[in-house]
Amino acid sequence: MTLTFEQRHHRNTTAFAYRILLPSLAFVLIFIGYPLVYSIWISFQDFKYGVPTGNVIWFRNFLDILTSSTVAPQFYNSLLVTLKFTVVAVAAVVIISLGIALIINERFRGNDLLKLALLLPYAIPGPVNAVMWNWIYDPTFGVLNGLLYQVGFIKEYFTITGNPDLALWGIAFAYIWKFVPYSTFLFVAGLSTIPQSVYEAAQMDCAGTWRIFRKVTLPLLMPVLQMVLVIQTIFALLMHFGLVFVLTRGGPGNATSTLAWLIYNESFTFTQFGRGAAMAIMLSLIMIVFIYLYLVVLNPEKRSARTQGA
Amino acid sequence: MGFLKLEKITKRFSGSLAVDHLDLEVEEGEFLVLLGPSGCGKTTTLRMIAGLEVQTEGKITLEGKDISDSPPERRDMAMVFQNLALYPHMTVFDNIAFYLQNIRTPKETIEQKVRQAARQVGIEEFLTRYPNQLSGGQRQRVALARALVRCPKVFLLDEPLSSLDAKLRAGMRSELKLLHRNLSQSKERKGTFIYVTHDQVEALTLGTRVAVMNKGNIVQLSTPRDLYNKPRNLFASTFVGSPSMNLIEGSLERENGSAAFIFQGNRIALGEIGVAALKRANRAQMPAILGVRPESVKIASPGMTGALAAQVVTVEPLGQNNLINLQVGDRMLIALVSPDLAIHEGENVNVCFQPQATHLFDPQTEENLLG
Amino acid sequence: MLANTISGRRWRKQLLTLVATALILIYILAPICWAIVSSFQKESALEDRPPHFFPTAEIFTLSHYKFIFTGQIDKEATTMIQAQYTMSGTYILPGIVNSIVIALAVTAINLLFGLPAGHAFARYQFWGSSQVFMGFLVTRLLPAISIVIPMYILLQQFDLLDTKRALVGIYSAITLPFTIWILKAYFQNIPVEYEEAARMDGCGYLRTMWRVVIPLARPGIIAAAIFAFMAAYDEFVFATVLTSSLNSKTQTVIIAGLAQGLSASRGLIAAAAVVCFLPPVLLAILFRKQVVQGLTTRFA
Ligand SMILES: Nc1ncnc2c1ncn2[C@@H]1O[C@H](COP(=O)(O)OP(=O)(O)OP(=O)(O)O)[C@@H](O)[C@H]1O
Ligand SMILES: [Mg+2]
Repeated sequence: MTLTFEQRHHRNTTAFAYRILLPSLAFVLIFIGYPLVYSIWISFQDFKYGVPTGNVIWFRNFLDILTSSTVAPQFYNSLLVTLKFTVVAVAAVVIISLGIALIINERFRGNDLLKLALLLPYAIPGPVNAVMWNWIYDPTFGVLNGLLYQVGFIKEYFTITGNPDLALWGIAFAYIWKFVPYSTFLFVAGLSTIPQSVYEAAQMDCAGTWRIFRKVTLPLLMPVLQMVLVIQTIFALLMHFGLVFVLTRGGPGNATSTLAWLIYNESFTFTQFGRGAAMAIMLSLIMIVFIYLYLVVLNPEKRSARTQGA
Repeated sequence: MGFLKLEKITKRFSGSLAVDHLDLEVEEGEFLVLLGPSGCGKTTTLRMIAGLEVQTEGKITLEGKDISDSPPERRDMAMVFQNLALYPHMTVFDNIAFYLQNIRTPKETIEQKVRQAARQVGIEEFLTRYPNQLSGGQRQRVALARALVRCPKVFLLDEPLSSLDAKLRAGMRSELKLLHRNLSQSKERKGTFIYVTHDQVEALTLGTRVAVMNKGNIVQLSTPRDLYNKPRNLFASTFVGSPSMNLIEGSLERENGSAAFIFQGNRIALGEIGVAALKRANRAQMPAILGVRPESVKIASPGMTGALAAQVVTVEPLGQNNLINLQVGDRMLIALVSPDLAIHEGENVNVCFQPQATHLFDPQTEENLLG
Repeated sequence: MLANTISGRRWRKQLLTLVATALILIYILAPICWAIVSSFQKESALEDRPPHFFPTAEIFTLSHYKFIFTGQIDKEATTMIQAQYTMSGTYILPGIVNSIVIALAVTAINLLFGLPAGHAFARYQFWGSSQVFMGFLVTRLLPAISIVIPMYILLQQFDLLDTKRALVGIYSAITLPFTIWILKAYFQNIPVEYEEAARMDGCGYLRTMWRVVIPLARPGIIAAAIFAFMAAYDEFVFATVLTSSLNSKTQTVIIAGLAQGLSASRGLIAAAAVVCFLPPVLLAILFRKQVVQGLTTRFA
C-alpha cells in the first residue's frame, strides 16, 4: 500500500521537517557553507595578479601575515585599530543607549516621539549614513566646521577624516549614531520587564536615584546588558566597513585600516586573494569567540523564554 | 466488534512513558469518560485517537479500518480543546463553518447547517461576532457547535468545562448530557463521545461508561454505578468518591463458618463477603485492606455487638451532611451522617458498617479480593 | 512642607527629562535634517561659509531631485555642475530600482522558504533540530567579509558576476537564518491548538498554513519581511565587490561611489542620500510596532 503525502508526514516528522527546511538549507549551504569551506582552500594558495599561480603553499599566507616584514605590521596595525574602534564604539553605544532607554522608561508623553525618531538611524542604510557624515565632516564647507566656527570654538576649518588622530573617531561617531537605536530598543524591552513595584520598594527604603540604578536596575538588567555587549561587539567588528570605505578608505596612512578594510584592500585592490582569505579566516576565528559567547554561554533562546515568562 | 478500538497503544515521550499498552474499545453512540489524576495520560490517549500524536506502538481501528497512519484531517473526528482554540481571526459563523468550507460544502448547506448547530447550543445571535467578544460560556458553546456541525464519527473532548466557573459548569454538564442523549438516538450517525476529565462528578454524571486511568493505563472500565459500588482496586476505590473511601489495614480470618476482619484487637464481622473472599484466595487467614465509604459508616447505639468504640474528633457541617472525623484506636475514619444526629466533638460513640457496604483489597496486588 | 518638596522634586525631574529628550532628539535628527536641508539648496549656496541652516527662497531649489528623477538639468546650473551631474547622477534611480527589485525578491524567498522553516522549528520535534537551528544562527553572525572572497572567485567561474541573481541568492542565504529565528520565536508564542483544531477541521498542511498559521502570525511575518527587505536593501560589502555595472549595482554602491568622486555635486549627493533612505525609513515608520516588537522578540 502506498502512503499519501500526509500519511508519510504523519508518521515521520523528521523526514517532513527536513523536506520543509531543504530550500533554506540549500541557500545557506550553497551561498555560505560552500564558500566558507572554499575560502580555506583559497587561503592555502598563492595568487598573482588575481589568479592562482597553482602553487599550494599551505599555511604560508598565515605565516606571512603574522611574521613577514611587509604584511605583518599592517596586520598588527589593523588589529590595534579594530580593537580601539570596537572598544570605544561598543562602550559608547551601550552607555548612550542605556541612558536613552532609561529616559524612555520614565513613561512621559514625549517618549513615543523618541522611539519614532530612533527608528530613523536604524533604518538608514550604512553607505547612505556614511555619505551623510562625509558631508557633515566636509573640511571646506561642512556643517560641523561651520557650527564650531560660528560659536567660536575653532579659529579655522579643520579636517576630521584627513587627520590621522581624528579619523577613526569620526568614523566611530557616525557608527555610534547609527547603532544606538538598536540597543536602545533592547534595553527598553529589558527595562519593561522590571516591575514597577521593585522601584517603589527601593524608594520606600529611601534609596536615591543613583543608588536605585546601581543596586536595582543594573543587576536586573544584567542579562540584557551582557547580550547587548556581545552582539554589539560582533556588529562593531564588521559593520563599520561602509563608513571606512566612504569616509577614509583606510587612511590617512593606515590610521583607519581596520581588519575588515585590510581584508578588502588586500583582496580587491592588491588582488592577493590567498592572503585576504587567510586574514578573513583569522577575523572569523576572532568572531567565533564572541558568537560562542553569545549563542552558547548567554543563549538568547533560553533567556528570552525567561524574560517572557516573567 | 468495537466501533473504535485501541490495541496495545503505547506512547513514549523522549524516555518517559505516557501511555503504556492501553487497550480500549468504544461502542458507537456511547459516552465514554477517561478519568484520572493529572499526568496519567488522558490527554495523550485522546490525542492519539485524534491523530494529533502518533503512538509509539499499537494500533487504532475505527469501524474495523486501521487508522493508525491517517493524519488527523482524515479521521473524521471532532475535538473540543481544553482552551477551546476558537480561531481568533474568524467570526463565530466562520469558526463553525470552517470544516464544511474545507470539505467544499455548497454555500446554502453551510448556512443551514451552521444555523442549526448554533441553534442547538443557543448562540444564534452571536454568529457575526469574533470569539474575543464573547463570554466564557458563550465561547464554550461555539466550540461545541463547531464540533456538532460536522456530525463526526467521534467527538473528542479534553476537559472542555474546566475553564468555566462552578455554576456554569454544572449547567453545561446537563446540556452536554441532553445533547448526547439526542444524538445517540439519531438515526444516521449516533454521537459517540470520548470525554477527558479529572473531575469525578463530571465522569459519574456524564459517562455511560467510565475508564479510570492511572500511570498510563486503564485500571477500571465500567458503568459509573459499578465504578462506585464495585471498585476493582485500591486506586479506583480511593480516586472515585468524595470524601474518599476509608481504608483500614488488618487481616481477614475465618472463624467457625463465618469470617471477620481483625485490626488492632478490633473485630468486624463480615459474614458471607469475608467467606467468599477467603474462599477465592483459598486461604484461611490473610492480610487485607478493608474499605468503607464514609456514608456507609454508621453511628451505632452504645453497647451494640460488633461495633467499634470511637471518639469524635471534629464535626464539619457540609449542609446536606455532617462530616465527622473519628478516631478508632490510632486510626482516623471519616463518616458522613445526617445533620439531625446530635454528635459533639470529644464524644465517645460506637460505629459499625454493614458487611455488604464494605470492600476488601489485597494489600500486595491492591486488587479487590472479590474481583 | 512634605508635599512641597515632593512636587518640587517631581517638577525638577520632569524638567530634566524634557531637556534630555530634547537633546536626544537633536542628536538623532540633526544629521538627517542637515541632509534634507542641503538637498534643497543650490550648489552655490552649499559652498557658502557659514552654511545656511535653512533653505531660504533665494537658495531653495528642487533641481537636484528633478535631476535624479528626470535627468533634466536646470538652466540656472553652471556648466561645471552640469558636468558633475551627468557623470554619476543618472545612476541613482536605476541603483534604487535594482536595490528594490533585489530586496523584494529576497523578501519573497524569505517568506516562501523561511516561514515554513521557522514554523517547522517551532512545531516539530525532529532529529537534529536544535543542531541545525544552531547552525543557522551561527551563519547569521559570521562576517560577510569572510565569504566575499571565495564568492567573488566562484561567481567569476560561473560567469555570474554583476548579476542580480547572484546578489539575490547571497542575500537570501544571509537573511534566511534571521527570518527563521524571529518567526520561530513568534510561532512559539501562538498556542499550537489553533493549528491542531484546523487539522481536526480537515485542513492539510498547506491549508492549515494558509488559513490559520499565517493570519495568526501576521505581525511577526510583517516584521520578518521588513527585516529581510531592509537587510537586502542595505547590504554593501557583497554589492561593492560583486557588481560592476548598472546591470546589478545597488543604491549602496552607487551612493558610495558618488561620494568618492571629488567632482560630484554636493546637493546632488544630499538629495541622493534622501531618496535612498526614504524606502526603508518609510517602511520602518509605517510598521514601527512590528519592527520594534520583532527587534526585541529575541535579543538579537
Ligand atoms: N509533548 C510531550 N513531551 C514530553 N512529555 C509529555 C508530552 N505530553 C505529555 N507528556 C507527559 O506524558 C504524561 C501524560 O501527559 P498527559 O498530558 O496525557 O496527562 P493528562 O492525564 O492529560 O494530565 P492533566 O490532567 O494534567 O491534563 C505526563 O507525564 C506528561 O509530562
Ligand atoms: Mg490533559
